[in-house]
Amino acid sequence: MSELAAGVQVVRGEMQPWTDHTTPRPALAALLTDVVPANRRTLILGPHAPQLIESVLAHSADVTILVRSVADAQQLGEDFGPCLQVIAGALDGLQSEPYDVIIASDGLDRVLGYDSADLSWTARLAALAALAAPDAVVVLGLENEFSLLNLLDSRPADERHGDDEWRPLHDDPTRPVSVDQLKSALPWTSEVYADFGSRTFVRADVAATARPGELPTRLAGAALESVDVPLLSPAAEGVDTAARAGLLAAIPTGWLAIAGAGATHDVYAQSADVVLTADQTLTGWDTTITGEPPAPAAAPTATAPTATAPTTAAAATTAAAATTTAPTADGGSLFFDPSVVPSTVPSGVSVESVLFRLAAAEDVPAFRKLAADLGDWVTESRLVLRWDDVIYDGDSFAYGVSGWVAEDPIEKEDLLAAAWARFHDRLIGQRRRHPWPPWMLGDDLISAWLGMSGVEPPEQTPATSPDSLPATTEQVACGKELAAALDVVLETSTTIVDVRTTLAEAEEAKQELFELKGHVYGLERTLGFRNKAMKTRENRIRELRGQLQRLTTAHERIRGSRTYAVSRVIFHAAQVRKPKVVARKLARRIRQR
Amino acid sequence: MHHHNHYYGQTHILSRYAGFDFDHPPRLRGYLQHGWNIGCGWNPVHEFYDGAWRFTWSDAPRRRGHALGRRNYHSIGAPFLYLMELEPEPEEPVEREGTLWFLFHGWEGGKIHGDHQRLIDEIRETEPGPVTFSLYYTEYDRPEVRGFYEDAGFRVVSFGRRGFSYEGTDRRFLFKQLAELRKHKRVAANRLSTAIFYGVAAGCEPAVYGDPMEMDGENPLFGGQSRIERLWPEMLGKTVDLEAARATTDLELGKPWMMPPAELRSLFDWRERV
Repeated sequence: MSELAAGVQVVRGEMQPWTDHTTPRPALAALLTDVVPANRRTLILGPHAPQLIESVLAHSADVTILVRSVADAQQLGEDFGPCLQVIAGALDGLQSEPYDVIIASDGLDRVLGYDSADLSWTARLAALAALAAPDAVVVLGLENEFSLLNLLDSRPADERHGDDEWRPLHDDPTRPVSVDQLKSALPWTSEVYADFGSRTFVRADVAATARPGELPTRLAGAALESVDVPLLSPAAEGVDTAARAGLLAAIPTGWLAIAGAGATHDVYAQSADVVLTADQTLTGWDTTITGEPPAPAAAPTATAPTATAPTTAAAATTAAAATTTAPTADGGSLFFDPSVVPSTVPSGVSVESVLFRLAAAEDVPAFRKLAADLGDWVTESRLVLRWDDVIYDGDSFAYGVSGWVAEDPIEKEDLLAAAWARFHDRLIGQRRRHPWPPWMLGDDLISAWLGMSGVEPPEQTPATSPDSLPATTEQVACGKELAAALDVVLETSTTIVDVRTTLAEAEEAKQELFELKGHVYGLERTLGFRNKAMKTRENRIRELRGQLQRLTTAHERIRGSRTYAVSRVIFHAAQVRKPKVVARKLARRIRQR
Repeated sequence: MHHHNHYYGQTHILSRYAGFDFDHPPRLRGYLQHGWNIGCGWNPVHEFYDGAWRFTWSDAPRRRGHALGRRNYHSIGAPFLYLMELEPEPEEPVEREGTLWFLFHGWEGGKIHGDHQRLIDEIRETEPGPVTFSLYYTEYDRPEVRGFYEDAGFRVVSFGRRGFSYEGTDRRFLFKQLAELRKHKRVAANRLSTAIFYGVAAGCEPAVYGDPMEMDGENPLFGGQSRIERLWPEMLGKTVDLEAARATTDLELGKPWMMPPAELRSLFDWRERV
């Protein structure tokens, strides 16, 4: 073993130039905090983010880390100083006394260098086991080759793993690809967590019983949404189907096996910079928020690590987590407030999953009824409303674990608009089945749902120009901005469009063209009917004109005849009622002349 | 869009309900079901333009249409129900009396054939009060048919024509039918038909009996009378369970699918435009 600057030691198999990318994983840090025993000789194996190293250092002063990259080792040496012993090199090059604790949460895929022997996963595990004391606490990660995201990955297998696959690591028959295989492969009795995108960890036996719309499934689905992988189709559908099959624990992005440690929580989930933990009870979930002090999202510092203090959700303060923010319509911002997260959350499914089902069944009456009930339930609040985090047990509603709030209370109408806008984006964005026509999608549909929730529709105003926006646009504007701000803080917006969506959009464009041609045909047909009606009326008018002309001619002929003149004289004479008086008057006039 | 949408003034009623002109309704972007049937809401050979939206009264026609490969459905409830909202019954309704009897009617393309005298005899035996006989104009204008019922001493009425190609539509057809139904205690017909459901919705006790008669060119594609007997036995007979009939009527006329005016405007793309 030789030594570099900053106290970094080097063993066989180091890599230079090279660096392994790491990301902060707050949920994993919280899990390690619960698992790592205090003041034991500890080895961190493989690349780990500084935040994770801090969570281990918080418990133990005797900590060694082995990384294969010399550059990474030197950086760690500079960042952590003498409180962390840093070794650069490969797993098979490390000769040491057994460790009481081994943290290999990154797995065994980045522990060998290009100069190392070609060790299979099992051989690497044996090398790790050789470094562990008989009663050691071991935390071992494993990437899941059977993960939903892997199955849906649109890239060929040889394009998925970048520069670190100088030997095909993932095509290894000894590598476990299920919870049972992992447990069997380990020389220790282990508890296994399903790792969803490193954002959510669910105890495997809890995940196996989770059903669509329930808390673990919701958190798992949300975690996978934030993973930037080019997909063949959206993952949400697969997550729900796996949950229905009781296979949620089979399809995470990875697993985390924990051997020799005491009791932990059932669920660890990252939300902004805080971590939600949840434990299943007979009626639902007991929740806790592990908050970190406000910190800018910058590189980790070398300050001495401090333990994060878990608090009950209800007792946590808003100041504890004013970290990730997003602008809202009124210029305010959204932030995570642990105090609004209930300390107990009932079991049940999300309102969103029920609404999806009703929309797919085209059961608008039941959809309307549920929307009305939601409208009655919602009140003014700072908490941004989202149907994917409102729990429904068939009779009543309850808030879930989302703690995203605005600075000031939001009016009920805007909260509902935000919830419906988010639901709209997810219903349409996921291309789910529903009964509403394409011209209604967008603001009109959100407004219609608001109407179902008891919000008065905006008054119809005559358009003043072809580009005039409908009245619904203004009605839902604030809600849409809230929903957009929530999307930002949840980090669920991805710029990568999956293949199925792209194909569906292309097909939709063709279908739209097809339907527009049909629409043109329909309009032409209507014009044909109208034209026929016009012709019918034109013919009738022509007939009437002909009749009128004939009658006029006959009338004039009659008026010009002698018979008519005589008849007029007779007619006038007949009008004379007192002939004697008329005769006297005529005689008087003649005499006067 | 399609001239059938104007039949019986249905689009006119929806237009008024949505806050638009009754006499000149906006163009409806799709097809509106104009009568109850046991199929997809339209006759078996009805043509639709590509990508057309179909606005059915209730969900059952949507499901049947879906099975025929058709999509783009939205159920809205029968316009007759909207008319009942627009024209509520007076607070002190007239005392109902007798039966409004609907003869299964033909259409412009098909005449009905059957034993009218036998039907009259059965009606006399069955109906407890005075009978008003409603004939569609296709029968009303045939003296040989109308005469049977006039000679039987029934009051014979007709509510007008549904029109064709936007011509000759009696826009108040359903208004007149509703008014007449509200005067009667019972509604009856020789086939389960739209009028029976309208009658139940308007508060009448229904009855379906007598010779169902035959019509030229009837297409049995959807299953005909025997299917009706299998699916809606609660609606058939000289006396029926009123509660069961009301429940079926609500479903068939799509009462739960009715929507407020603003939603209807959006659904029909009846936004105010320049």
